[in-house]
Amino acid sequence: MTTIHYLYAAVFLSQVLVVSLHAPTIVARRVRTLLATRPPAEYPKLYPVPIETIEHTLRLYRILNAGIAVLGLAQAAWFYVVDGEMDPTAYAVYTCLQVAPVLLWGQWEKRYFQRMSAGAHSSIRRAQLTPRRLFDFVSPVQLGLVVTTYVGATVSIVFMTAAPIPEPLLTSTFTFTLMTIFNLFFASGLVWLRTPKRSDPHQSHGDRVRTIRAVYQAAVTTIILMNAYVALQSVLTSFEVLRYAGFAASLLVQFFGVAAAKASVLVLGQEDFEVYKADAQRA
Amino acid sequence: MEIALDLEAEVPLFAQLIAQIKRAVSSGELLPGDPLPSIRQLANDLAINNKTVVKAYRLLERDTIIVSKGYRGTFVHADAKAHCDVDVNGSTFDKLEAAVAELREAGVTDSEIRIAFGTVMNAKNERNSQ
Repeated sequence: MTTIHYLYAAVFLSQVLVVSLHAPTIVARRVRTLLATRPPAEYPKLYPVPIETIEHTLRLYRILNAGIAVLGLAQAAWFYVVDGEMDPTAYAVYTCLQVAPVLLWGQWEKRYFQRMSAGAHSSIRRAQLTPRRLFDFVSPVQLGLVVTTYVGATVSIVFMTAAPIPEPLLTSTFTFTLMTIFNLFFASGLVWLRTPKRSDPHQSHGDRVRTIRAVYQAAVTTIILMNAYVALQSVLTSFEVLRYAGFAASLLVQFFGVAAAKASVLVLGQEDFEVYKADAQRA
Repeated sequence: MEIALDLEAEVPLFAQLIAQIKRAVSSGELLPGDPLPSIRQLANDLAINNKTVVKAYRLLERDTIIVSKGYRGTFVHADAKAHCDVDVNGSTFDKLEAAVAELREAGVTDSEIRIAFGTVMNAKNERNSQ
């Protein structure tokens, strides 16, 4: 095995540990802290399902992640010790597998809030008569970075088609189209996310705004990193060192894994827990 | 400024919304030129149908309490405070009551008044739909 293979093995092991062990630990710690500091007896509206159900789901989530981590370690042992190199397809499949528990947890949270809404009996609905603007949630600097990285990636793609070892035109066109679609998708998302449907019927206005801000920040950071990755990949391809792009891809996956865990909406940005007390009026 | 709607109240939701915005304008909590939330924002925050907010905003705009400026949003009208006390419903009721009283005095029966009223309203609706 060469140095590059050792580096690859290290980055892959880091991905296994960060996405399948560290990120689930963040979620589990947050939920356990919530259960310990805000007991159901005092905050009944916070728990539309029995505590046992929450603990059971959390246990399944951790077991699933632990299983995927073990699989990752076995895969790393097989490819790096026996073969000496990781197969890109196997890496892609494994990364998709790592994402699966995140999606399942998201679905569970959605159902959790649906139950919370179904159990909300108060007939009073409250709202602030203050409009929410785009720049309440992102700074002009961040939006400038989105535009800059997009233009940078485009310039990089165009420039690299004329490089001594050019990227095939079809590949660069496909990359550019895909990147533009993602940017447009996120741009429309930023408009849409400003006024999302209320998932938690009790959540206070301040917490709702904090949640929206956190989602905005995650979305903007994602676009910036993705554009930067496209630019980097294009440069590396043209210099025939594309295999180094794998490092960036893995680091990107690790960042998204931790970001998704931290953005777990169940406990995201909650500060006003008074609204979950038995005698609190609906927000 | 916070508003609260009661889903179980007898007053319709759009009327509650109108009343509270008018009250905020009268009390000075909302000043001329102040921006209001978009229809979607208010509907989602209150977890009510968009059409309810659309109806409330349309009636408030008709009463010159708010003004819609396209993509820039909806704002409190410059003369909103002066128009808050204008009771359009009350004035409509008074005029109809006077007209009905006049027709009754002229010997027109209640059923004839109802048919005529329905015909006039339907004719107007047909003209609008054409």
